[in-house]
Amino acid sequence: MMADITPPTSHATEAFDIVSKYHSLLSADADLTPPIAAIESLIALLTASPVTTISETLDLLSHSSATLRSSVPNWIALSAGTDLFQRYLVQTLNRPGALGSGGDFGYLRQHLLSNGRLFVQRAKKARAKIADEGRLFIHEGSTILTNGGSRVVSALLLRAAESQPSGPRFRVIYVLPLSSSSKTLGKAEGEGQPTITLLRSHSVPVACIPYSALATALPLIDLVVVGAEGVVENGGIISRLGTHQIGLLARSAGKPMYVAAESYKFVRLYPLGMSDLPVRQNIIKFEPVDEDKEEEEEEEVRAVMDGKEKTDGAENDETDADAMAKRRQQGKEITSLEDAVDFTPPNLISALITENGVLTPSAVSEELIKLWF
Amino acid sequence: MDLPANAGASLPLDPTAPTFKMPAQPRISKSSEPVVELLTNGQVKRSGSPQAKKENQASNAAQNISKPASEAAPNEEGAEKQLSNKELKLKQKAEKQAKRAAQKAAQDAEALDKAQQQQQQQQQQPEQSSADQRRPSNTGKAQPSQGVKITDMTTHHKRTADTSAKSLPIRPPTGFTSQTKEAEAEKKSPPEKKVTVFSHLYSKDRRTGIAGVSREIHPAVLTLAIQLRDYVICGGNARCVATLLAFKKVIQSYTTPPSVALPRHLTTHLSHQISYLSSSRPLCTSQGNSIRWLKKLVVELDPKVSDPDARDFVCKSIDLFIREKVTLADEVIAREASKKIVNGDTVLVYAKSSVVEKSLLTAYREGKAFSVVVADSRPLFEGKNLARSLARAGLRVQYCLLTGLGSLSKKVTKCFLGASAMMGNGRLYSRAGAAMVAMMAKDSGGMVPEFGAAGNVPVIVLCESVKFSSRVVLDSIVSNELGEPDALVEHEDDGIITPSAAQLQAPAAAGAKKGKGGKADAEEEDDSARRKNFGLEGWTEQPNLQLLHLMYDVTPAEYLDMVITELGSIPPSAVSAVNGVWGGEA
Repeated sequence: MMADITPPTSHATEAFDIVSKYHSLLSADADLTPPIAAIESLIALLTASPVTTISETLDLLSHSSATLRSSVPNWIALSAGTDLFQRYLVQTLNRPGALGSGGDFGYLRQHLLSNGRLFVQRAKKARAKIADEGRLFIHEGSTILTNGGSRVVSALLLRAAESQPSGPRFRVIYVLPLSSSSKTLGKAEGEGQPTITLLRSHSVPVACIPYSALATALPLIDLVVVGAEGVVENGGIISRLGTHQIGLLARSAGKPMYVAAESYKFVRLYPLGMSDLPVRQNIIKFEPVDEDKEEEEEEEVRAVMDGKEKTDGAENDETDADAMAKRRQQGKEITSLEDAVDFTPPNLISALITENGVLTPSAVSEELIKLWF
Repeated sequence: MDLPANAGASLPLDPTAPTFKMPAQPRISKSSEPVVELLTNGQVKRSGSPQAKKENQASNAAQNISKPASEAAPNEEGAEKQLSNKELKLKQKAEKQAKRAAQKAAQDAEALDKAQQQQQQQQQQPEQSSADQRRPSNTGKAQPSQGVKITDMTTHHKRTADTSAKSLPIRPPTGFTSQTKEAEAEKKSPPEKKVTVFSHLYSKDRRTGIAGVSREIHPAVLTLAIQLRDYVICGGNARCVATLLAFKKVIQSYTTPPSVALPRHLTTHLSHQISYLSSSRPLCTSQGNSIRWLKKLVVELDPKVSDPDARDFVCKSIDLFIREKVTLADEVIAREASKKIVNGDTVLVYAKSSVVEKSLLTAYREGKAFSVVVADSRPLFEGKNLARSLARAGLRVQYCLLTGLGSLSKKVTKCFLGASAMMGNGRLYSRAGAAMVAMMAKDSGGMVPEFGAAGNVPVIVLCESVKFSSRVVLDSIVSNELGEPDALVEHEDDGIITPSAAQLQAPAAAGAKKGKGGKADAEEEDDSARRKNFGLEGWTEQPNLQLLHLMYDVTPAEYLDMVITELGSIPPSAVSAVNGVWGGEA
């Protein structure tokens, strides 16, 4: 993993804005995941820029990966893609005869680009494969608990619904973050809405619960399936805030927890725990009691929901300015509740369902070692 | 005045009874005190007058405390060199000395002292000459004194027990005591002192003396064997590097006999050296792995290559191996590990590991504000060395024994452990006590700074990939190493257990570890009175008492969160995967 941003070397590439390319790719295709979008934008960058040497290429890639990383608050998923692409590039370059018979860099570049596109296509197919593998875990008559807006989990559940011969005979409990608009029981809403609509259209019974109802729902369920933003080296996952507590509760009730994730989400990252994650999110904020506390709280909730930076009272202005300066130096901070992540340690995960098969958490490091050494 | 040797027989646990660990001379008369000092200090010094004693202590104190680590290390090493020289010489002339000492028992102390000095001078002369005209091992009869030459070691990989002087009473040069009267006494002692469960770990020929060694054994290997045996060189990295350097010397002075191919003959030649080494102390995993690598390298040499070229190639490869697998690996690991330390951390470490020390110092140099808890245990007290070097560098250090860990572990936020080996099933094989430290950290460990929650301190193993083994180990019974049981017997040096005793000894604090040579005669009397309080001295005579000194233990993989190697950070379960990719121990 690269730690520092390398200084820009070639100004010719300034014309191509990798960040906007990345965001436009993401918004154009709802099914696109951040790692793949990152890889696609890197390929687009290579296509657009007139690099002529290997070191120039590597330099350009590492530089623009860093740019891309610093442009988003949570770069973990994204870096899985950029690291993978760079690694793939280095491996291709190290292969004897990589430059073709004439030692022509243009040939190599063409090869890289076409192979890169192949990689993206294959990665997109991974989701279908995972759905095929994962549907076997969903038995008839079972109840599945899930959370977040994972596209893989959605695909998996739909595939299971389609494949069960006499129509879908399983139920889904969807855990949603409690939003201010839903105050009625059984009416939670949030990120997973499209999946829920889709499942219901396939006549799968779906119940929506807030996180506070987790323990109540636990006796009903047979297994937990969650998605992941990134899978780290020890087999733990970085996922939507709240996944860790699902894992803890599932473990305490003896229910298995499966993670559906494509293998391109494997990150070379080894956090020791939540405090060791390389994202900055101020989840637990200690604040002194204030007179107009309630008002402010409400305001704050709104600000958080809007994804805006909340500025505190006047007395904190100076320190806040300092803190903001620091934040700008270190990169962006996660402010919206929907983007907040947590780390689920590997001991809570029963298995990872990937397109390469069902893996134990410890197998993740083996896969990564195969890739990186 | 000590009691005669047979007096102990009637009182099984009488502390003055002979134990086979004590050298012959000290018990003959009290005037033989200088001999003890000769052993422990490597210098001949009379400590009769209090004045001289103070000077002695002052100089010791200066050695131990005031010098920065970088200067002190060579100093300590020098002391060890001298030490092992003395041992060798003494061993070599053990019987002669015993006779002489017996004669001199009648004489007064000064006369003995002079004789000792003369004797030492006599001994030094042949040693120097033999060191100057070193010859390949296959020239005629191997002279034992050749083994005195010390391999030049890089100091930063060295790990020793607390102080060189301390290690000696723990680990007496039994090679020569076995040739003296005590050997006979030992034969007479009725029961075999073996703990049945661990009987497979006792080896008969463990302590190979220098006598009767095959002439094929290279002097460098002889030296190394004795250094390994006496824990002058200990710690996985130091042992690995020292072994490779010794083999480099073997290869440098090797010539292929006519009508034999070098790859074939050199392998068998090396095998002799290896088996001799392993008889002095069982080889550790890093040694085993590097030896396996070396053998493979030699076997795959092209037979057509000329001798000098082949030698050159192998020696260069050895240098490269040391550089890549130990020196650079340590740097990388230290850098990675220091990243895991954040401001406000309290790092728990156990005993001593060169790479853990390096990591902590690296993090400190990077400006991280953290403190260190060094846990330590009897009888090696390796942690004292670490605590001292960290404190010298300016780190905040707390030192405690394993017994005190319970209360200190509450505020620990991370735990770093060194390794002797990482096993194929992800278990850690390390200095005895490491498992306890890991479990304490995991089960009763402290709080995460941000969250204030208790428990689950990350346990991080720092281990070079040369220490990876594919062996599967389930417990620490099947494979382990036994230390000298006598090391568990308390000695008079350890007597500072009350504050008053500490005060009494305070002026002598620096000299206290140097053995009784540093004490005046009057104090000696006190000592003999106090010595009666220690219970284990006569354990060999006690039929139903056994002492077990295990050197290593195995920490289950569940208690380890991360293994930092030079290849990156991996979970313990991935050790076998790394082995497979890197073709480690198959």
